[in-house]
Amino acid sequence: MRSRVYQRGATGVNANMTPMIDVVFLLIIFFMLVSQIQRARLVDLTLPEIADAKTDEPARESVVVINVVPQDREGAPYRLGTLDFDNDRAGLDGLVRQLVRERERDPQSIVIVRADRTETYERVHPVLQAVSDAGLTRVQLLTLTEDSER
Amino acid sequence: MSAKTTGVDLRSLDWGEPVVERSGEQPLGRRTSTRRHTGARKASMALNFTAMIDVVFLLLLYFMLTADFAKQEDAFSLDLPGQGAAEVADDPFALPEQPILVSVRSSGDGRADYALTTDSPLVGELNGYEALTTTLGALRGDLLASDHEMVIAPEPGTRWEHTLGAYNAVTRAGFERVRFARPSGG
Repeated sequence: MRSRVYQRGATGVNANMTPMIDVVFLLIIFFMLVSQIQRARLVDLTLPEIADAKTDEPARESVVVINVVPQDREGAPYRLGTLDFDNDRAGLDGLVRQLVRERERDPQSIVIVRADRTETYERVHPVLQAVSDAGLTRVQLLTLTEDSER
Repeated sequence: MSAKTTGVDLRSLDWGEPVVERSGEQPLGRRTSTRRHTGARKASMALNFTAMIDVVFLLLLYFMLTADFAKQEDAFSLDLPGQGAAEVADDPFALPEQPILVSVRSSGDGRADYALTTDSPLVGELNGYEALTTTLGALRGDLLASDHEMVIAPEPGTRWEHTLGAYNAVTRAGFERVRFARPSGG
């Protein structure tokens, strides 16, 4: 609320706060949104749903997310952020190199592996092998939370 | 916060001002501006919709963003043994204790279309994850240490969902060293 003293003294120079606050809120929301998008880096998959799973919360910090793209989709089978890797020698070598880079940045990096429930083990295992080859040890395999539990 | 500023806007439309003018108690020194506004007195009764819509949109955006539309995800955390350790473990005769191999095979597309077998004579027929958990859980402590190495060995074509199911069954039985075998098909 504007005080009377303020009204009398500084006439005409009072700034209209309403649009400014509106714009500031919009900026806050915009940056919140952008940061969420940056964190997402996810491919749309149907993760496996395991009964009575003994699982943890997925890690939030220092994570490297590798998505295993289903066979019927377009694109390379392994996606790390915006990078795609093929399931052949060159592609997997590239994946290992990228993971080594991540390890040099943060040796405690956690590799999150997201694979579709219809995926075969043969297509997921190269990722685990690449993680192991890159010298990283901490892995999280993602599942869907059971609806009955929450 | 914006609601308050809306209030300021309404005040600035001088709703109460004419009363003040008539009583003559507090002239406020704004005679000229008051005169300008008294002409638009009828219009001043209208709400300021612009600010309200701004705030409503902000609230809408805020709640849409904070709502968790994505399905909740959980994670199996595991430590992969380094490459060297895996090589050693691939040779069962190099170890004093032989790891127990849990084979998984998918027989169809459904969640329950899988078969579990182990290479251990201690474990008999298995008809599901639950049976594997209880059998292994009973063996743990007596015949097997909880750090006995367990290997999940999916057969060619096994689905990821069944692989994780078997992994979950073995970890729930209380075994700490569980690893995934190389796919046998290639």
